[in-house]
This record gives sequence, C-alpha cells and structure tokens, in this order.
Amino acid sequence: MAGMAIFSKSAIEMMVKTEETTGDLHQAVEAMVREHSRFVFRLAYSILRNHSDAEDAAQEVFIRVLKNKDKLADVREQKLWLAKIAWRVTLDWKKSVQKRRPAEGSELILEGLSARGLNAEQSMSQQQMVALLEKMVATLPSDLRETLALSTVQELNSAEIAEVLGIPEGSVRGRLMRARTILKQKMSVAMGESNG
Amino acid sequence: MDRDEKRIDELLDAGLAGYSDVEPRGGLEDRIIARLGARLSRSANEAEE
Repeated sequence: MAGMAIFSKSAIEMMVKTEETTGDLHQAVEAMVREHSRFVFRLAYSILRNHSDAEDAAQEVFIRVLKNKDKLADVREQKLWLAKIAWRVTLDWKKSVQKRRPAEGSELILEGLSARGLNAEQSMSQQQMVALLEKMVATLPSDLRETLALSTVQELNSAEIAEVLGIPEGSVRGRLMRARTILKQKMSVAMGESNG
Repeated sequence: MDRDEKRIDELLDAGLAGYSDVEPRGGLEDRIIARLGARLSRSANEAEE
C-alpha cells in the first residue's frame, strides 16, 4: 500500500483550482504524512500519554493541514510548521480527554508513589520507570510539564521547542532546569520515605 | 554531587530517555491517508449534490 494514491480525482479537484496544482498538492500531503506522521504521533503522545489518543490527534493534525492547504506552498520548515499545528491540536485534544476522563488528583498520585516506593529502582524496568515518571510529571505546573514533555520528543531541539511554545530558547532551558529540580526533589522524597 | 543525588539524576535521565520513545501501531501513515481521502471524497460528493 506504500506510496499508493488514495485520494479520488474528484476529491482532489475540490481542493485546488488547477490540475497541475492538484497533482502537486496530492503528492505533497501524502509525502508529508509518510515523512512526519511518526514525529507528529510522538509529539502528541508526549502530552497525551495514550496511544489511541495520540493516533487520533495525529490524524486530526493532517486534517488541519488540509484545511490550511493554501499555506502549504509557503511553508519553509515543514517539520516545525507541523509541530506547531500538532501542539495546538494536542492541547485541544487533552482538554477534550480530561472532560471525558478526569485525571487523578496529585495527592493520590503522590500517595501511590510513596506506597510503591522507589528503593527498588534497580529492579525497575524502563517501562515502570516511565510510568512512575508520568505520575510525577503530572504534578508539575503546566508550563514546566509541557516544556519537559516536548523535550522528550527526540526530533525536537530546544530552539524548535521555543518556536512551538512561542517563548525564548533561554526560557525553555530555564523551564527544563526547574522541572528537573522539582522531579529530583520528588524522587528524593519518595525514595527517602520508602527507605524508612 | 553525593551518591544518592547522582543515582536520582541517573534515574531521571533514564526515565526521560524513554518517556516519549514510542512507536504508533503499524500502518499509521496508511490510516491517516485513507481518512484524509475519505474526508476529501465526502466533501467532493457534497459539493456535487
């Protein structure tokens, strides 16, 4: 199925005025999906923390791309342009998800952490570590949480994160430092409690 | 940096390294393209009616 054209001719004709542009647009959108869909998925996942939600959000991102088809020709940095769309879509998606599935309160999360204890970190798998980290990250202030989450998307550097968030790169680094400091304090407390 | 602090740093680094290191289910690209195609077809049909 790779590379196969799925858009019908009549559908494409609705999008653009000329046949020449139609063909270009068709190829451009498919190429964009094939090149960037995993990146868009990972960006959405970094915030939503759920495969199904992240996939739905990724699909919505490319629907927005179609809605913004008039801007496609002027896009210089495709990945960054997509990242900005993905960021807005993901935040909207998160709000929608939170209405349907309210998150745990932070007190419950921290109680759960202490009860589980972190002194067994040597036997913890990466998956378990990530699960515990998710609970701690969820307690961070939203600006720190979102910046930290974006920083874990391997395709994004700090300059690109700054572009997506619309803040100076120095602020990104500052937020990441503060987030790490808070997380280390939480881990230290949890480890101290579990070690008695 | 004392031993505990270093250990916490390493744990945090390890956790963050895998935090968004995930892959979508196979065929994500095809599902997205199919959905876009269906959406465009629907729009085209509505315009023709």
